[in-house]
Amino acid sequence: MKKIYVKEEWCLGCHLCEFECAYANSGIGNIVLALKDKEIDPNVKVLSDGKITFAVSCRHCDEPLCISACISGALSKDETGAVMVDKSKCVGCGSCVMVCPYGAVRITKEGTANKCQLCMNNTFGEPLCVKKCPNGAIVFEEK
Amino acid sequence: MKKYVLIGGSIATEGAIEGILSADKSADITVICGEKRPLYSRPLISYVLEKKTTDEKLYFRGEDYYEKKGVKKVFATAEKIDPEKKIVCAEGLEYPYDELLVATGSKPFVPLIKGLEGVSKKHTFYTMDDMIGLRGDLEKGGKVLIVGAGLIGMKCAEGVKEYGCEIVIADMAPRPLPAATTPEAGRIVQDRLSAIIDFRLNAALDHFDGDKAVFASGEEVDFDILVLALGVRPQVGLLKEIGAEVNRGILVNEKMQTTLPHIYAAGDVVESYEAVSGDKRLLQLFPSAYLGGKTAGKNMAGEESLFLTDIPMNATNLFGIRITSAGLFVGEKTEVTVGEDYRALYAEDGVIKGFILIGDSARAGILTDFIRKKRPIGEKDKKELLAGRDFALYPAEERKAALGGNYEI
Repeated sequence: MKKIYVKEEWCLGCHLCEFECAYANSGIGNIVLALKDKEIDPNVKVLSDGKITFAVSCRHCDEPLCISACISGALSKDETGAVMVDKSKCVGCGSCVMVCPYGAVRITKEGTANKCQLCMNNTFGEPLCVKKCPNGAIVFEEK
Repeated sequence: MKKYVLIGGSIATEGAIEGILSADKSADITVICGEKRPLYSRPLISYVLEKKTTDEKLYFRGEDYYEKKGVKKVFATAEKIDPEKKIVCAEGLEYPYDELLVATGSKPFVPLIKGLEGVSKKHTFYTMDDMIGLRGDLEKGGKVLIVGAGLIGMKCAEGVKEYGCEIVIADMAPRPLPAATTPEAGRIVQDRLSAIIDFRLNAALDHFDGDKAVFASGEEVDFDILVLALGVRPQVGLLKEIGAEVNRGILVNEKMQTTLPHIYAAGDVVESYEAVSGDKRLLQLFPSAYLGGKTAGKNMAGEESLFLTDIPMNATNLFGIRITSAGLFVGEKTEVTVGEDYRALYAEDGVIKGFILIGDSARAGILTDFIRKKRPIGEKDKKELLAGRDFALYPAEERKAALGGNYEI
């Protein structure tokens, strides 16, 4: 399946992917209206070891630990192999967060799990973090 | 076509079905379930009691999971295994197998307490039927005594609270969650919940006098509804009587094989390899059941698979307090307090053995991964890890592999 991969040698740490992610998943059609004066909670996070920066989002693992730990069935793989979240089933226990080796699942303020779903559940249909990265540091490809 | 029989209808069985089907598309699978219900998620019962989710959603893979997977279901109690003839007997019928999985789970432990038979409303809290029975009594109201302040008792209390009932929780231990937390973390939980729960700790139950519990100290607690949450015991009988090696649970190797040929076991019923201690342990956890079941399933279908990364772990949200832990609380402790949050890391010989977090758990998975992979860390890295500056501590090559492409988790 096509997945998001990160090339840390090209990442400048501009955090634009975080804003584009928050916009893509806001349900609002204008980036300024969607983000201005708002605290964002994106599915991709730019981290750093002090020297190098890199974006981290869900890896859509072949055998995802998050799904094997999910007690409510809220996390599952769709037919393409992407790990998707059904918020209506989630009870917010945090088991997925406990096992994700990338720290890529979180419990939001609403009390349910959220993570990168490859922009398949919004109107963009393709990962906006990839499309808008000015440096090609995030790619969406088949490996 | 190979015949697979799976005894038990919970998470280990689900894992086994997935494991078998990944390696043998034409598998002939039969599930024998004494609980006589489609696959459902037992840890969800407290969330249903609490009305955070619904009875329907307990069937977390859909009520037709077995049908979707092409698995035959038999709602009957398995009574006997004949390892010579390779058949399972259940309620008068015989089910032949080529490979057998015993995933009989565990059963609430109910000690012999004088006067228990005279208690008018008494419950355990383990199955969907237990929850439905308790809910029926709670809807009529009254004061609830929960004996046992472990995870089951505490999660039950959270559900009970929804019904406006007064709650007393008693335990012989000096603090709540004695097994799942450290003394420090348990005390934080106790302090924060003491306004809503009347804790009776260090309290050994002596006997019941009608609907009144009498403790060894002479202290008495009246109640309307009693919940016994004193832990669970593996149901090892079927395998014990045919000579499989059994300790507290059924002993299995890393392939989830019992000591008898063509018989595997997984889930709450087994003592399996635990990666932090390197010993066989009774873990009785949801992810262990699923992954152990999956490992068993693959091996049953002839694809070699080893389960080498099983460790204790727990994540829960208790009355708004998030508690997340993994590994063992052994070795040198490093602890920090960040606002209301408490975080402690346990390490030995430059390797993290365990952690517990009260509050924000956002980076817990990375700590768990450090434990599972036995990834070495420096002394000063411990505080970095607890501060959430974690992913940067991965060796650069490993991180590049993880983010840039193929990486085994």
